[in-house]
Amino acid sequence: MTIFKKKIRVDAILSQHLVFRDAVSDLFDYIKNMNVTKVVLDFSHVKSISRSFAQEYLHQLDKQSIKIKEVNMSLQLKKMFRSVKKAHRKSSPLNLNDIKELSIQDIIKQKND
Amino acid sequence: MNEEDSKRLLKGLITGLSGNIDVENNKNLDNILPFWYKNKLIGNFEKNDLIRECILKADQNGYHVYNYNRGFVIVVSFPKNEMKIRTHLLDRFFESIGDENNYGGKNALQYLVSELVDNIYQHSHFSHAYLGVEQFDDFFYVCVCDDGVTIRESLRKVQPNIKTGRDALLKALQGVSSKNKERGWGLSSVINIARNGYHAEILVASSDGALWMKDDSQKIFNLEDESYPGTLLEFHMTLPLKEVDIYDYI
Repeated sequence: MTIFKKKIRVDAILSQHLVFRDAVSDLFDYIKNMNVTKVVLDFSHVKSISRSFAQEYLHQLDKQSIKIKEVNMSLQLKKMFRSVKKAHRKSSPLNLNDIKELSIQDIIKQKND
Repeated sequence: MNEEDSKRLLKGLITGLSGNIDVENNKNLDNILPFWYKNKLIGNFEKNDLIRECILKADQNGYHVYNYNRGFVIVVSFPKNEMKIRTHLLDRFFESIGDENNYGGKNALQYLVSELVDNIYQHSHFSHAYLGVEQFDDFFYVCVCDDGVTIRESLRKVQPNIKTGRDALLKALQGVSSKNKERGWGLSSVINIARNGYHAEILVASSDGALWMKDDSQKIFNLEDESYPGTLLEFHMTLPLKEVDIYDYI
């Protein structure tokens, strides 16, 4: 079996800032259309990544039949992928025991006072 | 979106960006944001006009920057779908913001903006959506708003028993997602970074629920018939921002 291998710069296909969850599909669609069996994804010029993108990337990566190798990931990117992989509990930024509810009348009264 | 809703959305962005309170014309938002107004020292009618012009230009071109001697205003008007255009607009925004060291260190501001804008595309099905940023001396303001499906309506798809915007906001900040159980980190992690990392004053308004937070204080509002016709998130920060490691908060 012939193995075709190609290197792709992620920033050239998407952006230096990997933001949108639905951009992950664009990346993998691009790879599929190359008709290769192995791909090297080069993250060298990627400056930032959203959690949403990282989570969707890992989710779709699992489903790929093409062998994909990632290279040149910055420490920040590696940390984000690690963070998504190890996530098991969501923390709330709210203190739910100390939340006061106001009606619009309360707000107007407070404002007038 | 009817004309009245459109005006309110625009007023929301203008009011937040400019800090200007025109009580007559911004009655609804004046009610929503009573705690902010007293803190705002900047803003005047001339500036309100300036912000309005920035938004109109962003609506035409997708993006508008106004630089002046004490700061800048950036407004991004997002397209409904086109991936290349929205990616280009955000790239341009990150490039314009420049030195990331002013804004909490590597990736902090990018993370905050990226998650909020992606959320809009994932959930809101908007007609209009904006990212607005203003820096004025040591005042730094970020606003993301849309006129789409509210948090309440989005979460009702998976939790039909949610009745109010207040309940929906609380659920969203506890990580409940309208998509699946593995998702729902975006909003809560952003608020966590802004509140505990940036020590920002935060307002989230969506349908009839609104939530205000600053340091240890938090208040939730039932806006009743003064509902916001979409979702609005605002963050007020004071520069310089100390370095924030986002991985402490996500």
